[in-house]
Amino acid sequence: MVEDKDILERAAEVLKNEEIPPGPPQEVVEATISKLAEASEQPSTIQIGSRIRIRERLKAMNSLNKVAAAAVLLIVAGYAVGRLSAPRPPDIKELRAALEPAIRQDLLNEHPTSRSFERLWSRRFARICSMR
Amino acid sequence: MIDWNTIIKEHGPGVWQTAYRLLGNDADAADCFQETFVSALRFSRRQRVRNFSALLARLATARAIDQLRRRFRRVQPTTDFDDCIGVESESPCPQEQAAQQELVAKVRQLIGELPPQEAQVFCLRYLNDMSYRQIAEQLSISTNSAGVLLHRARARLRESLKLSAQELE
Repeated sequence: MVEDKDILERAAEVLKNEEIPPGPPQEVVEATISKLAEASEQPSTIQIGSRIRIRERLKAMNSLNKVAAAAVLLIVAGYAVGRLSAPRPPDIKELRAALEPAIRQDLLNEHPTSRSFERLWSRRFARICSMR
Repeated sequence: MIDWNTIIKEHGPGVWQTAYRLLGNDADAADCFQETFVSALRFSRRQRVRNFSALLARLATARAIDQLRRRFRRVQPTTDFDDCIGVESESPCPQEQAAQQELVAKVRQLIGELPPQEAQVFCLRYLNDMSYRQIAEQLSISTNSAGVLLHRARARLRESLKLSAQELE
């Protein structure tokens, strides 16, 4: 293991310490400068491309936002229409007032001598309400 | 506006050394030198460069590794001496010099055979003396990932060097 490590360390050291001729040569520097000048004159196609992509994404997001807003509006409107057009829950007092004479008359006919008239009346009324 | 003449003057020798050390000849090093600066120009258009020295070292290493990979994919050399253009050494012993040149050529070949990111981490660590944190910053990876990549690269290189040594024996 130690021997293997030595091989690697030695190889890296030899590569690192290898003699390198002084450079870069002047002609390489000049060629690089002219290449850089050429490259800097070229339009930055990558940047334009990415700008186009961002704009497309923003457009897509805009239309998505519109669809989402329309959906929310539809849901709210539907809820409001449903709420307004729903039948009102029956008013117990009104119902009681409307039915009371008829039920009272029935009970009087059925139990003319009953003392617990109020109890019977409540039971009957509750039954009628639950049937409705 | 970036003054590329000044940057080449300032960092050119470092880039040249990185390129030449990995490629071992003038022609390839010159190509790598040019590609490195053109890549740096493109990079500087996309984002602000905070450390030109580290960026150029990373780009030069990456371009040189690309060339090594192409080179060793194109030809499988029978002997490593063919690719090696010797530089005058102060070593007094020709045998030792030959052995060192052979080892250098072998390491270049093995670096070219490593997965690119592992090769890059190995070179930045061993040849450019970058810290794990610097390597991680340059390659946009975590410090842990840099450590793992370096460990793998070392393991592969060690194994390959061991096999080569056994073959020579």
